[in-house]
Amino acid sequence: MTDLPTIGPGHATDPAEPSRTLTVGSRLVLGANTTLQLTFLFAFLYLRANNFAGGWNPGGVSGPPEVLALVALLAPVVALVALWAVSNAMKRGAARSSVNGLLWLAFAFVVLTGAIRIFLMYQFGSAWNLQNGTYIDVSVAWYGVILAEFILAGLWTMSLVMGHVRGASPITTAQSRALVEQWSYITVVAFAVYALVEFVT
Amino acid sequence: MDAVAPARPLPARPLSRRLYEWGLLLGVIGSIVGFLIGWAIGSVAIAYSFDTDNSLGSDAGILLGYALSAVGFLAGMGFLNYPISRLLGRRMPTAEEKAYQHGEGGGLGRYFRLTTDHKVIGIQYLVMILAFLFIGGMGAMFIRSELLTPTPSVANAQSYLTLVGLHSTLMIFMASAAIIGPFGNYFVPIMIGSRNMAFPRLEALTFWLLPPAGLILLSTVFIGGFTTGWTGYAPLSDQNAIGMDSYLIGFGLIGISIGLSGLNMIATILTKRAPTLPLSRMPIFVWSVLVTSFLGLLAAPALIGAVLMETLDRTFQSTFYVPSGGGSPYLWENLFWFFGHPEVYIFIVPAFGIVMELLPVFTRRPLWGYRVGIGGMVGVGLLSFAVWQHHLFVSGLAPSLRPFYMFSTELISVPTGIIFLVALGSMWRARVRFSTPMLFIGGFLFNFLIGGFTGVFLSDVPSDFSLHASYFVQAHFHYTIMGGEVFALMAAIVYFLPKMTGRSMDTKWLKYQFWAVFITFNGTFISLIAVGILGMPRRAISYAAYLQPLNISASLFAFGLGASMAWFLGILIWKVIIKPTPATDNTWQSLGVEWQLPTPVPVFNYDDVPTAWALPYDYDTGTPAAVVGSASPAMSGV
Repeated sequence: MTDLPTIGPGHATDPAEPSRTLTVGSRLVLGANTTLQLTFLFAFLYLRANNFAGGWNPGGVSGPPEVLALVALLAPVVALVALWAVSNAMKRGAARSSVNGLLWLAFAFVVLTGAIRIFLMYQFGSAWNLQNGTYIDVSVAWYGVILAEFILAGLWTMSLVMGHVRGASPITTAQSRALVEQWSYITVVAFAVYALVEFVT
Repeated sequence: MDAVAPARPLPARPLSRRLYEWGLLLGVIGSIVGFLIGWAIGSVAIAYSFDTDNSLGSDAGILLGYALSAVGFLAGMGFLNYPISRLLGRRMPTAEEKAYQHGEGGGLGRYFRLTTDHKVIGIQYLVMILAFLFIGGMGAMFIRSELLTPTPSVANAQSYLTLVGLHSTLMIFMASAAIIGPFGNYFVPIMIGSRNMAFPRLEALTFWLLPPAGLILLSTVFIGGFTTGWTGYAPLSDQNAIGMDSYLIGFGLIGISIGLSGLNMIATILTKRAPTLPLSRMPIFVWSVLVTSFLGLLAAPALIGAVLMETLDRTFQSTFYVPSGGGSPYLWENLFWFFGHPEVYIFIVPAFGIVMELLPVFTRRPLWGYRVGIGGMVGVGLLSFAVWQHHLFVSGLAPSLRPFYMFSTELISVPTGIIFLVALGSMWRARVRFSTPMLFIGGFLFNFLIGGFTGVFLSDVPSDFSLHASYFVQAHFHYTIMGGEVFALMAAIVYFLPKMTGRSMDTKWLKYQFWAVFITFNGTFISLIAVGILGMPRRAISYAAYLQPLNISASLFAFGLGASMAWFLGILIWKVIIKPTPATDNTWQSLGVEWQLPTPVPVFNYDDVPTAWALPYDYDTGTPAAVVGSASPAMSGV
């Protein structure tokens, strides 16, 4: 029949399984997100390279407001550092209450990130009208997608923070690690998109 | 006489549970409220703020209305309860609440509310897919009725194109989940020795996204329809009226469903397998689901991105696909087919899995070339991402790129051929039992072979130039998807239904039905191959008079095909619902682990997950794939 070792009955609940499922699920989300980002990258490069009817950037618009755009990149980095500290504390087996402060700090910067990026899109100004060429179209849509991803990751952070501090479901090491992975990925994409939109107009 | 104890009052059910029981009704109310809110915001606020069309029939109003109607539907069904309670840090569901949501306790109500039992979801998928395939099939009957004459007789050109678009898009929606939806969800956890899926709520979400998607698409007939067909090509999509918005939201929802379903299936197969079941002994159907899930996960985001861009074009007058504004219809073609070509393998790879899974049962021999078959499916999956530009051969693709895409497309026939060899090798010198599922598998092999042959002509640049956009393409596509996937679907329904419902639909009438559907299917599409070679363009309501005899032939066979499909549905309803015919636990004497479980399958599948696994096709020695120990008591009812 089989030469595999058999194990006793009642082993259905593998304690490591939920962590493994979350880790694999998180990596799969990163894979799907990569295709979405490549879709926008393809649109950006394709429309820029072809410049159909001279419509790529007819108004010669430059990148988004520089200082605000840089602040919008800094906030998620600070949030990431705080999330990473939470993850490290979890890995070290820190007590539940001892990570509360770090979690609140991380959550504050996560909220700040969303707020700044919303403000950034509001400050794009009249030149960044969607009818002003495909450079604006792709850039605004891409910034919008990144904003949506920061908001989704922020909501997930909120659910973990609230569950932890209220004692309903303490955050696990796998959750904190997956959150760091997601937040890192979106932050790296935000940097890449900023560089592309700023320097490849 | 003994004293009768006073009856204790039944404990009151919590409000959340009572609301769950009315999930579908609340979902409908939620969708109406959501639509009205979205429509009002889109029509007035957004349109006013961005100085766009602010009439009540604006694209912004319709698109936001549809989007919020889907959100309202899901909220009414109860999909937001869990995330909101997590956001507020409330207590996690108790074991009892989880068991209730999983469908413990039985009853028909499980099928009309949010349930996390993969078996219930599998049956929900089956019913919904058959219902929508029936509607799409009715569309095909109307199309063939119109094409009985060379000039418009029943419909005008606009409504005919909407009909063609509705038929094709609805069929594509449903085909993407036709096998994975019912059978993947129902059987994958069982086949890998798991008690549940990795993300059960996500699994329920993938199903409950489909009804709003289908209904939103169908609602296009009330707002003018769309003329682009299922491919939604720009600039026609930009020029269409608000009926196009149904297509965009419907396809967007389907894309989300495909992607999430892929994620859930992969996570389930990789992390929920019984600890002693290695990948190298998984049933080949599970392998086909794994390959398909990767395709869905990685291809669907391209569709979602493309649809988002088109939505912005239609609401905020961006110009992604408008040449005069710097955009390009080729951008849509590229993004759409980057999703669209893997999409056709999302249809057919699970069908390969069904064929290879069922063959050993009816040949009573081990599957010939198990690992080679897996390799074939993985090869098809990998290559499917490298062929999409063959759809652009005649649209202005750079000539220097044509040889590469011609080569990569022709290359895909190698792994496909390998899968065929596995099927033929399994039948070689076997004493085949020609039960009804086996007949449908035979039909699949014949039809898909013709589909494959005709595909070679379309991958070849010179012949594609003359055949493109003709009925030849349409017939090729139907040979692969209807002759392939739908025949495999019918085989799977007949084969798996006894385990899913405890009732059998197998009868001698079903064998007659197979021959009817096989003959009429081939009669229809061989006629259409011929009219295609003679130059009849697809999606045209008028055609040259000399093509009428072949069109009449195609239409008459198509009516027979429609009748024989209705026959199949009739037998299914009669034998499962009206006059149920009980089935035995192991109807086909299969060695698969799913057939070692009692029927109906217990709520959590296994009490003790099997610990020793063999290859599931050891018909030489007759060893089952695994020995199933004790299981929880079976739940009554289907």
